[in-house]
Amino acid sequence: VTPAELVDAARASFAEARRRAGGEEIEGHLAGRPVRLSFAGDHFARLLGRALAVTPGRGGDRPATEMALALHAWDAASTGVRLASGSWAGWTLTPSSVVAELSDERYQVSLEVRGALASILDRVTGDAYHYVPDPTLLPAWEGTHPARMLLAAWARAQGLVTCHAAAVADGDAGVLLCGASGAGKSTTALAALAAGMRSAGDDYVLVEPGDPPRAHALYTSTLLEVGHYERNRRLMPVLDHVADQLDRHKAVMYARGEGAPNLDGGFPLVALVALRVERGSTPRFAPSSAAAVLRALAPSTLAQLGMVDAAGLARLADLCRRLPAYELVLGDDPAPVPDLLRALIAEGGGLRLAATR
Amino acid sequence: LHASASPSGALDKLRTVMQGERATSIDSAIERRFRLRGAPIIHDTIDNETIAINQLTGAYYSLEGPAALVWLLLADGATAGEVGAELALRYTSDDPLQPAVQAFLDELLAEELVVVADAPADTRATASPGLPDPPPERPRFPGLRLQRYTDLEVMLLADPIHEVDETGWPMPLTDQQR
Repeated sequence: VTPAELVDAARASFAEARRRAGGEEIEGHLAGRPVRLSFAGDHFARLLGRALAVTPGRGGDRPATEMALALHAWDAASTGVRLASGSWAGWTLTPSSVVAELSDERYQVSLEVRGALASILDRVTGDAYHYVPDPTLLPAWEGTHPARMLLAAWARAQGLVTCHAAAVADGDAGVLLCGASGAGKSTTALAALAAGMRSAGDDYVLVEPGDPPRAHALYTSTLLEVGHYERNRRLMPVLDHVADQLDRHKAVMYARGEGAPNLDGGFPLVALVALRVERGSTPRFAPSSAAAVLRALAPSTLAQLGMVDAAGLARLADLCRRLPAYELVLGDDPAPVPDLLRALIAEGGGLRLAATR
Repeated sequence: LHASASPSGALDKLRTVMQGERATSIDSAIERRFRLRGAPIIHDTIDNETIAINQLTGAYYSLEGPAALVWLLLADGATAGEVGAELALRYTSDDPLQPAVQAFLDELLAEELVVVADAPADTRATASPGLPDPPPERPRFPGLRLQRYTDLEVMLLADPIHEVDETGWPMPLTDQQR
């Protein structure tokens, strides 16, 4: 089977699933680009519709050719229709779960979670297919950050850089918060939200290169260790909380509904901030360097998305070269952090403590 | 750039200093040429610091100051001797720099960040894009340091796309699983 034949098969399978089980569509914008999410059955409508930061736009009959992304998602369990792809046996999976023989400059075909999730992207047309045989086999991260490999590949084709980072804004400008898991991205972003700032996400952020670079939301979901959730409960009113996740390791929240943070449109970035937790300290900025921020950003993005190759690293490095770099030392109390961030943003990223470029 | 011309003089001087039976082996060592390994190692250099990442293991490295300069020279195809000579143009030291260079190159080899090149010794590029200009006054040589970070190795080896615990969250491998 060729990638084009696989796309044809996926299109036909999705159409059949839609015919049998029905489904809905969401049309709007993701990172400022027109997108359409089409679902067969209700599993992905619930999942992607809730977790993806698609700003609802006008519905109607815009032609598919106007869409930067036309994502079709279905599962076999609720629709009774499998992806008619033939056997997947014998294909080579890269460390990023990409099927080597079916992927090229135009197509990316990936097979994740030991075959429990397949995705196909046509970078030229923006056509994408996301399929799972049985949603009960999916791990929790697919519920909170669904289709992240597919979306990261799409974003890259769109010239966007997917960062394992948080981004917060005050007024018309913001900063990118970098650090591996546990560095304090979520807590910092939630503290900023609670103080009335905006956020483009606390785990994955799309960055549009340019002068200045702009941050866009990819997901609405926020994850916190349960202990953090309990300690920061007062930060939560801005987020819908999914209570049934609380008995797990992490609390999951989605920025939806009344009072939810503004996730549309994106905002220009004025600085990059590497986060570091230092118990017993008072939160403060410290000088840093572009290289230090790249160290905080690139390896963890690689670990999360598995797709930072030499060109991807060069894009992240270019981002780090463009903006002033700081280290934000986080203490035990996140309360002073929003004012620190506000001061940095108000100065346009030019705090006197000597950011280095 | 100056790197292809002036180091040769310094090399001759270095050889002149070396006498006796050790000269052959040292000559051999300083004429070793290296090249960056390439995939799965990806790298970039910003602000006089090189970040290198092993995509397979998740280990990542920082090379600052003269160590980043060594990296750029190796990328340009410099021999061990040319690396030492270039450093001598930029730093002062009471001790010969070449032993530190050799030890550092061995460390890079051990970490599989570079490989010994098969190319003949005269194939160095004639220009070295990315090399900073030498400072007007040479600072003291601070040594060559390869900083290795392993904090992400366990998560990458766990393969967050595949390996999850019973609740579905990515989990590091246990010692037994390794």
